[in-house]
Amino acid sequence: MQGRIKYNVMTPEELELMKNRLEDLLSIRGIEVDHAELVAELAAKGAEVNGHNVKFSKDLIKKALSTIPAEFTLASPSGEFDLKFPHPTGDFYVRTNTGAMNYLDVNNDSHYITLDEVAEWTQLINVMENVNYCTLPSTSGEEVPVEAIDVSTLAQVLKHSKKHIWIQPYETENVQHLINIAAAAVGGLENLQKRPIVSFIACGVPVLTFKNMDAEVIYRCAKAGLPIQPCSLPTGGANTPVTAQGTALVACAEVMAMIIMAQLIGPGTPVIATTLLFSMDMMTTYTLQSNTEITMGRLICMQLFEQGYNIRAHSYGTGTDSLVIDEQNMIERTSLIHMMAMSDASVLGGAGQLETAKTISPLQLIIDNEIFGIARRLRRGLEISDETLGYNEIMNGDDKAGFILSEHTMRHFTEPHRPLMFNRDGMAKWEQSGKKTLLDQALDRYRELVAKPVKIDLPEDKVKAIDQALAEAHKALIKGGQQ
Amino acid sequence: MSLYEEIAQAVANGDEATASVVCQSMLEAGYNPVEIISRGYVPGMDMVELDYRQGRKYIPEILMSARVINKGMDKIAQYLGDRELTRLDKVVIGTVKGDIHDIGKQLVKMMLESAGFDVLDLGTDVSKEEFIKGIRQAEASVVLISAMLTTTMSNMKEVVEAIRQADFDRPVTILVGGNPVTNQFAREINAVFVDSAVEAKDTVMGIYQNNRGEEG
Repeated sequence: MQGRIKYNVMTPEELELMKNRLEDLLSIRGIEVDHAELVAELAAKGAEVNGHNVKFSKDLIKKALSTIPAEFTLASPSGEFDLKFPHPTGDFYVRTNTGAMNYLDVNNDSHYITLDEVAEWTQLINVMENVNYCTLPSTSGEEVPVEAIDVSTLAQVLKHSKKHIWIQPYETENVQHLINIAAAAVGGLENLQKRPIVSFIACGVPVLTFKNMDAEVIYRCAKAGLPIQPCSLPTGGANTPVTAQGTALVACAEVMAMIIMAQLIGPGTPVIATTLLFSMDMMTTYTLQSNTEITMGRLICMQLFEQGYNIRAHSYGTGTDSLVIDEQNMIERTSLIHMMAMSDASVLGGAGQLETAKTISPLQLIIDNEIFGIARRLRRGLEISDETLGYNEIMNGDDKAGFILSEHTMRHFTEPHRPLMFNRDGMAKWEQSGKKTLLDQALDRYRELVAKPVKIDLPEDKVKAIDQALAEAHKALIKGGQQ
Repeated sequence: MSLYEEIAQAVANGDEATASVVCQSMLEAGYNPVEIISRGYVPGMDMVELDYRQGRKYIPEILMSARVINKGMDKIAQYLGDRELTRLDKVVIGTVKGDIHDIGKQLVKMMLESAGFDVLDLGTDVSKEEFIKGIRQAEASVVLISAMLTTTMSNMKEVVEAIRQADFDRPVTILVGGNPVTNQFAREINAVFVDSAVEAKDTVMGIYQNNRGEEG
C-alpha cells in the first residue's frame, strides 16, 4: 500500500479546531470579492452579500463542498501522462515552478526567460520521470509584449508539452483568451472540457480578498467546468500572523473560499487546494520559502484539506531561498521534499526553482527529478510481513553463505531505490571516470536530453489553431495594435 | 540619565508609554519642542538603527520605535503653536495598478515618516495617472513604487515610463521595490532599486541630503 507513512502534525482535536475557525472566518468575517457578476451570482446561490463582502453560512459551505467531484483527471496533451485524482496508489504528483522570470542556464548565466528557453524547459519536463506536469514560466516583456506574456508563453508550451499545463493569468481580460488558446489546441472548448489539458491558478490576497482578475478566473473556469487549483500565497508576519499556524489558517480559509465560490457557480468543477505559504524574515524583510516553521504550516494545510475535508491538496514540495545551486540549496530542498512527501499532499510543486521561486534552472530540474524519486520511495513506506522480514530464511538458518544467493534476495533485490545520477562507486573508479559530482552528472544528462528533444507531435491544424487564437489575443490585448 | 536620554531610551525600547509621559512632562515644563526631537527622539532612533545594522534588533522592533517617534511628533506638534514642525521633504508612495499588496509599502512609509519625511500615500492599485497627479500635488522629488507580483511588474514599467515622460518642474527620482523586483529589472526600467524598508529610507535620505547640498 502506497502513502502509508504520513506526518500528522495536528491531533484530531486540533484539526477540528482548525476546521471550525476556518468556517467561522468565512461565515462571520466573510471575504471581499471585486467582481460584480460573480458576487451577484453568489448572492443568488444563497451567500450573504453586502457590497464586495460575501459571507457563506456553514450550511452553504457544506452544500458547496458536497459537489466537489470525488474523482477527476487532469488530462495530458499527449494522453500519456493523464493525472488521476486521487492518485490510484496514494502517491503524489509533481509540478514545476510557476511564475519565475529568470533562467539560470548551464553556463551559470541568469537572464530573463526567452520563448526558446520555454521550449527547452518544456521538452525537459516531458522526459523527467518524476515530474508530472508543467507550469508556465514568465517570459520577458523584452521578447513578448507585456500585455501578452501569459498568452504567448502558453502558446509556446502547448506546442511542446506532452504533460498537463497549469496556467497563471496576468490580467483579467487575458483569462478568456487563455481558455481560447488551450481550447484551440484540442479542437474546441467542448473537447477541453472533456479532457482538460490545462488547469488555472486563482489567488487570494491575504487576508480573504480576491482581486478582479482572480475572481474572473474562478468565474470563467467554473462556468466552463475547467479545473482550478486555487492558491493562497500568504507571507507570515507580513500579511498574515507571524505564526505558521495563523498563516496556515488564513491560507486554508482563502483557498476554501475559492473552492466554495467555484462549486456554487459550477457544481462539480475539479479543484485542488493549493496553499503556498511563505514567511517574512524579521531581520531582512525578505520573503522566505524555506523557513522551518512555515514548512510545518504547509503540513497543517495538507492535513486539513486531505483529512479534514477529503479535498486534494497541493503545496510546495521543493525550493530554496538560496540564490545559487549550493549547499544551502540542496539542504533546504531535500529537507522540504522529504517533509512534504510524508504529508497528505496530492501534488508537490516547485521543481527546478531557485531564489524563492524567482529563477528556474534546467540543472536543478534534473536534480529535483532525482530527489523526487527518493521521496516517492519514502512515501510508499515499508510493509511488515513474514515475507518482507525474510522471517523463514532467518528462522531456518539459511544464512551460512550470507544472503546474496538466497531465494528471498532474488525476489526482492531490485526493490531498493537507486538514484540514476548518484555516485555508487568507490574512489578508484570515481577518479577514473572523471571525478564527476552530481552537478557534472546533471550537466551530462542535460546535454544528452537537449541533443534529442522530446516534444508533442501536434497536428498542423492544431498548431495553426493555436497561432490563430494567439493572434486574436494579441489583437485584443496589445495596446497600439502591436503584435 | 537626563530627560532627553530617557526619551531616547524609550524610543530604543519601543516603549511608547514612557516616551509619552516624559515628553509630556518636558513640554509642560517648557522645554523647547524642537530640542526634544533632536536630543531625545532622533538619538533614540539612531540607537535602534545601529543595533539593527549590527544584527541585534529585528524589523518589528524598528517599527515599534518608529511608531513611538511618530506618536511623539504628533504630541509635540500640538505645542508648536504657529510654528510648523520642520519636515525634511515630501515623498510619494504607492503600489502599482493591479496589485493590492500594502504591507511592504506601509513599512517603508513608517520608516520615512519616522525619519522626518512627509509621505503622500496613494494606496494600492494606483494608476500611472494617479502617480503623476500625486507627485505634482506633493511637489515631490522622490516617488517610491511597489509591486509584489510577477504579474504586476509590467505595470511598474509603464508607471516609470509615464513619470519619465511627464513634465515636472524638478527632477524626480523613482525608487522601486517589492518581492519580485530585482536590481536588474530596476536598471532596465530606469529606476533605483531598494530592497528593504531601511534601505529605502537611507536612499531617500541620501537624495534629500544631496539635493540640499546642491541647493546650498
